[in-house]
Amino acid sequence: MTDTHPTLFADGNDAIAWAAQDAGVDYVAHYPGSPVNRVINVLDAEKNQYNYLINHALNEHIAALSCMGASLCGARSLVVMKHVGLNIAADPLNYSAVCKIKGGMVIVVGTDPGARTSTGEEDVHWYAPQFNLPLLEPATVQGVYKCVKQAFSISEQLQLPVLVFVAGRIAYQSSLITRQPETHKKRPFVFKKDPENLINVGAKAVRNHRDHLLRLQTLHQQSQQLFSTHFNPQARIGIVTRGASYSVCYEVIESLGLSAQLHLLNIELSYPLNLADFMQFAQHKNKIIIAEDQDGFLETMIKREAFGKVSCEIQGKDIFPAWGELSSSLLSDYFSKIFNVTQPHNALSLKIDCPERAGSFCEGCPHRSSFYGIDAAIGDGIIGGDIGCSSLPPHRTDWLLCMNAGIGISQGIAHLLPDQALVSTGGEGSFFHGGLISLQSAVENNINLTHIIFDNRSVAMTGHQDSPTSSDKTDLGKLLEGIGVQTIFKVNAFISSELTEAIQTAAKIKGVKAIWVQGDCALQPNTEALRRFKERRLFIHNDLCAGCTLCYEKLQCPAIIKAVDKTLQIDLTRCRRCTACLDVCPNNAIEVIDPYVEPPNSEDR
Amino acid sequence: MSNPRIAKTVNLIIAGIGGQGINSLAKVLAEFIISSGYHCQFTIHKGGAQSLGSVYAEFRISKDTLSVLGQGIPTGQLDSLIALEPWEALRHLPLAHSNTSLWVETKAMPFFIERSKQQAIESPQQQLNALPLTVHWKAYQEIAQQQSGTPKMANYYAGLDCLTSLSCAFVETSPPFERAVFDTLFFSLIKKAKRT
Repeated sequence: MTDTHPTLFADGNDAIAWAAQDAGVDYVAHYPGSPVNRVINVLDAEKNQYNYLINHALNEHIAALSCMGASLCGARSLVVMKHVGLNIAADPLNYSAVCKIKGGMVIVVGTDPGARTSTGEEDVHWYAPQFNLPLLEPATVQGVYKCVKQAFSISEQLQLPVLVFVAGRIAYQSSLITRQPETHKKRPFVFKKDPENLINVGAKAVRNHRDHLLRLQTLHQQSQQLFSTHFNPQARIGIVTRGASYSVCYEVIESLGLSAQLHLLNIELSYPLNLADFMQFAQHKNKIIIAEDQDGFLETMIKREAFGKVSCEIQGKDIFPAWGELSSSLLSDYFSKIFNVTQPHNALSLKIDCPERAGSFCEGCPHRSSFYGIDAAIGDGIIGGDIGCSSLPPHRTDWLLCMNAGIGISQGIAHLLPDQALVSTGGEGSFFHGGLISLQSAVENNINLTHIIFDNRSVAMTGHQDSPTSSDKTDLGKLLEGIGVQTIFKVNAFISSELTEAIQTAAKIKGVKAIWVQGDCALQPNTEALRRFKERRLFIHNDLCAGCTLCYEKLQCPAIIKAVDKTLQIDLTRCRRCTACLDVCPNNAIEVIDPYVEPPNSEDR
Repeated sequence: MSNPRIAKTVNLIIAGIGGQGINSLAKVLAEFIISSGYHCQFTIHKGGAQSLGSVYAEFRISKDTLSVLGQGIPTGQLDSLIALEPWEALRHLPLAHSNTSLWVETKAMPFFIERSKQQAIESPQQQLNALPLTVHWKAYQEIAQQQSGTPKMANYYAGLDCLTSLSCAFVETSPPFERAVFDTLFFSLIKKAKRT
């Protein structure tokens, strides 16, 4: 592509995708996860224009390995995942550097300080020294674009993959960025046998490890500037920062009027630390403060590399917490205290009583009636929870931790406590990510376990990426049979009593039982759902309603509302006509009526 | 804001819940601000909620080229808050200063989980009225129903108040914020969404 591109509005996700396109990426693999969930949507929409292949991998382990394969053939490859996905990809990435890839390989990881879009704010920086791969951390959206492109060049020069971490608040930030597309010749793709680097055993493993570390050392000899300094170089106090914390530091220093008293160093190459650059910055400083979020990775690297070489005091996590995002309030409070300056704003410091509004299931979501059915079957029994839309709202299961925690933890409990009322749950995306092997493990170990697979035919939580059941390529029923699950129930997600009955029947049968709950995501309606929406209207007969509130308080459908006169009504502007409420009502008070016929005893339904 | 280098930054939040079109409005508003001759950066926060959870967009707007600005609005520096739901207005008021302008939807949306426990919570409208701030109460959903035939257009009418708010904030600065430009951008987005 040689067209000149204008300056465009982009968020961090766009910037990652555009940088890869402009760097001439040939191969992309990913597993969807916030905050970098939208990268693949952008890339997928333009794959023919830019001519790259996409592997919608079923987990991050496969995504990473497939990119290694592509880069071994000389292709430029991009792998995208969220921070916890790096745990899954960690095994192959430990070996990625010794392979001497031929085409650049960039690993983009969305991190989540503050846990805005994740179940935890795990600090994955520690993987950089474990893998011994370079780590770039952009501080702005334009910086994301620059770093991803630069990472391809570094990767090819050193013949090892390069990590780029994009924090959630940059991934979802939008600003104007300028694209600078480059002209790329078509690369010849060929896999050359290379047993010296690819058969990594014995003495060769040690030699390859040494070679890898020596290649990494050459990174700092290159001319690329991967840091920036600001404010007064003569100041006695230095602030060192990285990633999203940089712009927060910059703004606070300016707003407090401390630009003459402080010298700011922003490090884009967080690993390996360029000691020479740091030592130059540290000259004449009495104190250096490392301002970063999470565990203090940069502080640890600086203290490790500069130990015995700098005489000034170095502080970091003894000032700022290791949890949450590094906020401007924290920095502002600290700097105004040590410099005795007044904060320039007039905050009202209001005390607000506002409960958290956690997400809920959407109207028409198949999970809503499924959980109603589960509750009806096992009461106070244990519900093993997984990650994804089925964990909205978060309190419906007994734990919400990580991918496949539902099926994994449940089988341990079921193994130990065979008489415990328990079901494990998870979406089909999670099942194919690793649940399949977990379930087979339960089969092999003769564990009495009922696992419920919520099949809504897409990875809905992260933006409706395809799952294996989105098309007809994978037959989930045959797959379950193939791994030895002898009892398989197939139920309609919108008829909760079907699921209740299946759970109760399964409880009487020994071994592993799978309940395949089918119901498409309400936000991706199929033809049948669209037809239902046009041809149905739901109505509550208040003369039949006994006020049990099962539909309102237990099913908790947002389309069922309580009117001023306390009667229950259906808000047709919200109702998706899934009819899950019909099965819930013990008095048959809810009826499907012709959309063009006025309800019998109502003027404003 | 005492430092002249960042004195012209105006900070605005659009808040609501999933499904109200906060994301779409934020994208239109950003394009509108840029095409009106201003600079802006914004961040969408939609958490893990696909629907019905808290959603908000933080805007940082300037007439001049933006200085380096953090992704979040600092405490005490929120200039305008336009909320499509009163609880979601309350949520951001710890960032307010004494002149923060508020435009708030009159109708509170229920918390859709644990419905049985909600009686214990004080009304958000009462809490907002008790604050030392002027609240412009707006029935966005009702206005949208009456004027556009659907409450889903509430985000458009909230967008118009964003324009009012920006015009007040940049009263001494030209160029003006023109509604016709906003309308063109907003309705072209709706047309595009309908096509897809």
